[in-house]
Parts: sequence; structure tokens; C-alpha cells
Amino acid sequence: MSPNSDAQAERLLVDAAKAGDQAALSELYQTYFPRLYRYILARTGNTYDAEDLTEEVFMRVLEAIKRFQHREAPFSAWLFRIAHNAVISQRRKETARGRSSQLNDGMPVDSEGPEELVERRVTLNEVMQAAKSLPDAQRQVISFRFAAGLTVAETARAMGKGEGNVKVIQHKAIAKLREMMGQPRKRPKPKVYEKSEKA
Amino acid sequence: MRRVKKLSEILEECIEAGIAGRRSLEESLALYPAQAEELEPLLRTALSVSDSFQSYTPPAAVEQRIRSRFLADAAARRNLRHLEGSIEGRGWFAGFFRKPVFGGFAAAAAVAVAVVAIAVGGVNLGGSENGGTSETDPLGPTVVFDLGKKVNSLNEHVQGGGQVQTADVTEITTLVAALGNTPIEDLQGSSSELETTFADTLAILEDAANLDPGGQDLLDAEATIRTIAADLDLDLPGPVDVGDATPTPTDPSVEPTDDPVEPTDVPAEPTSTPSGGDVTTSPSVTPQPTPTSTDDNRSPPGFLP
Repeated sequence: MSPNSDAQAERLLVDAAKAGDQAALSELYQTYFPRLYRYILARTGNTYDAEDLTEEVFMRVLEAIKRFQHREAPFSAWLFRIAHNAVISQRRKETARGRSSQLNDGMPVDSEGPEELVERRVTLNEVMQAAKSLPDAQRQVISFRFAAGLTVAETARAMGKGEGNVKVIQHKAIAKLREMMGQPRKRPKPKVYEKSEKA
Repeated sequence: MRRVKKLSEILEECIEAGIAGRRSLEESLALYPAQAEELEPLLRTALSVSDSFQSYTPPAAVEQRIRSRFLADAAARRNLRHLEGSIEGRGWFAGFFRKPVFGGFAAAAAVAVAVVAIAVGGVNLGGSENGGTSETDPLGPTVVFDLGKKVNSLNEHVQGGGQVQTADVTEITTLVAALGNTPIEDLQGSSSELETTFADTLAILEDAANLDPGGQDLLDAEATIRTIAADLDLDLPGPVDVGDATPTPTDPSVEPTDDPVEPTDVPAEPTSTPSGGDVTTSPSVTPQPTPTSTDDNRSPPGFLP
């Protein structure tokens, strides 16, 4: 399916969801839940906040979706803007809490051996640890691009920046991550992404 | 600077191709031999970071739990819209429903009448689309009524020399949080009643601050009230003094606030996490500036009219 037809399909889906169609809402949830969860996990660094805020963001989507307008922004950029705002609000409210946690055991569904799972989990922990040291704009770009799976264009819309600016920030962030993490040990075998998780 | 920008674009193009599975890392490097040496470690890192995130699957139990609440909430909202549509269709009844003095009782009566109508099959609720069963009960108008009733009885209690109790505060903040999760369009019919009720509620929150100075539940409730009031253009008294929570110095981990599209208010807590009954603790929180605009997460700034 071409990007245009994907966009058109999503537009129809969002319109149906705006009208209160349960099946459409369910499909939107299916599509965006993993991406939203990973994004918030990348931003907050702990699964407790990821869980709470993911739920909160979906509730906010229900409140606001009737006012969503396609001409203003792609749905994904709009949704992740809500998520971004939720993360900011959470930080403002809970700066003194200082909670953190390691990743859960409910790990990938891919059919991989335990060794590879462990290696990936360590890598993700390393990535998130390193990302904490990045300047905020760089961390945002890494979260949007690699955790949420947004394109550069969608990231630019969600951040209110130009695409060129996002590419430069991304470049700097990756260079800094490499510096902190060292050379990746190996690249895991390519994952076949499910349709619902594509950017 | 120009060179950096160029490499940034090449890097992005290769990342995009790699994530989409169109090109391997080696194929990308072969396409840009002049930049290969510099590009290789960056691209390897980027693809590794991407793989790490995309390979992580959120816990299935969490996915299921949030899905259930999301869809139940959606069904409740849809049912409420149907119900209010039915009420709006009855001209004289709708006018009665909006009268400030009788609004609360009228709202309750409206809901009661509607429930009876549903029982005899006279009103088609959203649930009937799925085989004639209503998935959840409509709650919005009754929350407005319940809050008004609670606040009125508390006012009488306080004027009679009584004090606001912890349980009262919990009930009020829970009701306010529920209102915060109600679509603003669904509250427009209750504007007049809400104006009076909110003014009284703010006064009670101020009393409650004696029990829990700077309590987060109180701050959240006030923020929710003012957000809804701004959305509905209600006239409310000035900021409530909710006590002497110790102001927290600027936290370096908090994101800068100069972003013009950042929210400046405190959003309502979801109804699934009502406040507990413990108001004896005083969490160290920074009092949030009282929101006076409609620029909250109901309408993410920059995207909506």
C-alpha cells in the first residue's frame, strides 16, 4: 500500500473514531498503543509512568478527538503532541517523586532465543540510560523517531520545528549516543514490523 | 556547518531506508562512499537504537487494561451524547434543564426520565447499536448535579459551624476530576449551574486547604475547575489560597517553558485515579499557576482552532 493510501485509510479511520465508532477507536488504539507506550517510556525512563501516562493520553484523546482537524496536522503528530504535553505536565507535578524502574519482563513477542532477548533488553536499558544525558531537544527527537516511529516530517510537526532542524538535532543526538554507548556490539537481525507499528 | 547539514540529510535518508527494510547498512554505505567512514558508526548506532525500541513489546496485561478502559470510556461518552440529544430534542424540557435555579434537580429528573424512557424502549441509546445493550450508564449531567448537591449541603454545614472533613474533600475532588474528563460540549448545557457550583466549590477548597495545605488533589481540582470555567466562559472568583506548599526551585530536569506551544496549566487527573482519603500528608509540590485560558490538553496548542 502506498503512503498516500495509508494516509487516506487513516483519515477515514480517524473520521470514524471522531463519530464515536468503537471499531475505529479500537483500531486506532491497536495502531498507536505500542508506539505511544514506547515513546513515553523513552521520555520518562520508567514503566510506571509509561503505563499511567499512556492511559492518560488515550483518555485525553477521547476528550479532544472531536476537535481534531486533519488540515492542522497529521493524526500521529497531534497524538504525540498530546503525549509530549502529558509528559511535561507529569514532570512538573512529580519532580520530587524520583521513581524509576527497570524494564518489565513482558518482553518481545518475536521468536528469538533468550540470549538475544537479554542482549536487546540490555541495549534498550543502555539506550535509555544514555538518552537521559542528552539535551532535551535531542532526547525528544530520539523518542519521536525511534521509540514512537514517527517520520522526520511527523517529528517536525509534533515538535513545531523545521524538518532540516530535526535532521540536524537527530545527527547530533546519534553522535552523542554513540559516544556514550560505544560501538554497538552487533545489529540484531532485521525485525519484520507489523503493519500496525509502521511509522 | 554546511557539511554537517549535508551529512545529517544523508544519515536520515539511510536511517529511513534501513528502518523500512529497503536497504542494508552496507548498501547504504556503498551508496555514499565519500561519507562512508563517518556515516558507518552513526548509522549503525541509529539502527541499533531503533531496533532496541521497536523490539520492546509493552506488557500485554497493561495493553489490555488500558484498552478496556479506553473503549468503555468511549462507549460512555457516546451514550451520553445520545441521551443528551434525546433531551435536547424535547424543547420545553431542554429549557427547563438549563434553568440555573432548578438546573441540578432538572438534570437529575432528566436522567431519571431518560432512564425510564430507555427502559420502555422509547429512546435509542448508543448501546442499542450493539444489540440493544447499553455498555455503560451516562454520567455527565448527574456528576454536575451530585457536585452541586454536595457543595450545597457542605455550605450549610459550614455555615452552621461545622468543618469540612477529609471524606468531603475526597468526594468533591473526585467529582471535579470526573467533570474534567467530560467533553466540554457535554457541559455547555449546564453552564449556569456550573458557575454557581464552581464558585461554591472553590470556597470549600479554600476551607479544605486548612486540612491539607498545598495538597495536590486540591490544586488539581482548582485547575480543573478553572479550565472548564475558561472553556465555558464562566465568571469565577479569583485564585484560591490552597496553602503553603513549599515552592520547589526550578528543576533542571524540567523542560524549558519558553516553548510557545507548551501547556501552562495542570490537566485534570483521570477519573480512574481518584484522590485517596488521606489529607493529613502534605506532598511537596509547587503550586501551579492558575490556568485562565482554554489552552489545555483538550485542545493541543498549535493544532486546533
